[in-house]
Amino acid sequence: MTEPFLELRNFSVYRGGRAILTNLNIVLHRGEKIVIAGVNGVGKTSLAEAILGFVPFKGELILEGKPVKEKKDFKILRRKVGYVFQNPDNQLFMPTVRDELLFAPKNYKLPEEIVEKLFQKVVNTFNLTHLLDRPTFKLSFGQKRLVSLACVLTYDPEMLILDEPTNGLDRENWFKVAEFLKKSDKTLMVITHDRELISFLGWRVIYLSSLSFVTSYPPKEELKENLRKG
Amino acid sequence: MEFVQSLKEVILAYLLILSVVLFDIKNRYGVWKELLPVSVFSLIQLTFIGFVILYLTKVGNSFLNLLVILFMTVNAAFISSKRFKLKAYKPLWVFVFSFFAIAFTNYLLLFLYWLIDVLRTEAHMIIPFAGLLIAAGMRSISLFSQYLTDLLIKEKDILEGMFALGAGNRVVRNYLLKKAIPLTTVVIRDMLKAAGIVHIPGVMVGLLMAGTHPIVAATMQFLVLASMLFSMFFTPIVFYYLITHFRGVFLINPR
Ligand SMILES: Nc1ncnc2c1ncn2[C@@H]1O[C@H](COP(=O)(O)OP(=O)(O)OP(=O)(O)O)[C@@H](O)[C@H]1O
Ligand SMILES: [Mg+2]
Repeated sequence: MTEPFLELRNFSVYRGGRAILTNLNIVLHRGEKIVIAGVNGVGKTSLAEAILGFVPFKGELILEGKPVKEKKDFKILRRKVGYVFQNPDNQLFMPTVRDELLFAPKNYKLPEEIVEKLFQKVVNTFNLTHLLDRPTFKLSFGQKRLVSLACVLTYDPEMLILDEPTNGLDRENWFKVAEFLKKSDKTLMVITHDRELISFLGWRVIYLSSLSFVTSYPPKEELKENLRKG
Repeated sequence: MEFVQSLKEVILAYLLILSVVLFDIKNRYGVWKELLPVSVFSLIQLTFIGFVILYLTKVGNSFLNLLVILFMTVNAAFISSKRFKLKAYKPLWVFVFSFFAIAFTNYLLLFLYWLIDVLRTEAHMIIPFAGLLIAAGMRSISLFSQYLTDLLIKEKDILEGMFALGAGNRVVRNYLLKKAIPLTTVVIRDMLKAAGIVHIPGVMVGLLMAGTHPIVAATMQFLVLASMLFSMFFTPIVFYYLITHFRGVFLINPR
């Protein structure tokens, strides 16, 4: 059995000095895809932000066999794990969409030929050509959502954590994103309430409950029942 | 004769303060409690500095003057570290980097003026000028720390977004400076704009009253304002470069 890509062991997440999720154990292998679900305020976003190093946690966070603890470990993790925020405004701070898409590749000093290829691919996948020179703060919510997803793809991280990636999208863009997720060969963690998306993807669902215990269900039959509960 | 003049001035000043205090007590604004001791201290401090400059002028030792300036800088750095709003940095570090930032920026100016003979190292010239600049530098670090703290709270999400997209300290630092420096320099920029139209600034008033040629007083005042702008603009920048270079860019929740 190969080594997991990302592993959480006895992982507890703290907000305002209080544990909101306790003793999570999650193992993700390379290329594996999971959905994280749970009611509003249960701590899905906090879990994701703890993995990125923005929210305090206790327990072990292990990336490719190495523990992630210090600032420099999180730098390495952020290079490998792209995060699409629940609120796209968090990621949109550059003057234009083009600058936004090139922000991360510049930070990571990726070679120009590679950036050029990734950029073209992302722009084509999400039909962004007509938005490239627009100021980011003048986009509609759905357009912002697409750009915030796109600007994580231009540096090609190995894994993606997406927080409500289909929220606010119209039919056409919903399919674009859902298809992209389904076809992607990256390791994926998708946080969502979107039942249609969960059944469309058909992946393993980890359902976070406010009682801080976690159950992992296989998709299909049980899924429907869980969703009714949620 | 001069003594009588000074006495008149002090008595007049106290009459003014007293009228404020009486009105305040009658209407219970509550300012008088602070005003009484402050008015005494401020007179003592000013007279003290007057005597120090008198003494230093008599001694005529430039080295001693520089020592006084160094002492003023240490004091300014200490006050900055006390007033500093962002608790993520330890006061000792704030003190050390404030000291270097104030010293570097303002000594550079003083040295330049000395070099082209605009300013001489005699006590009655260099000490007030250095005091003006050092105070401006100190004030700008305090203002800057306040705006910086507000920004770190208000834009926490965006800063996390930047870090998530791989931004290093340099990118985040520049983003924060770009937002905080315009705010920090509002006061001095307004003073430049209003000088001569709305008010005649303190230095010029002093020179005019002491009988200096009005045009000489005007150009001197212009240089003073420009120097304060330089100090208030660059001191916090140097400070922030130093502290982020050696201690990192801290968010409210450090990691
Ligand atoms: N900055 C904060 N300080 C303290 N508590 C917070 C903070 N942010 C969120 N919380 C609390 O932590 C809990 C989890 O919030 P979180 O945003 O992770 O939930 P969520 O599962 O993502 O919810 P949603 O489905 O609405 O996005 C909530 O009870 C929330 O009130
Ligand atoms: Mg959330």
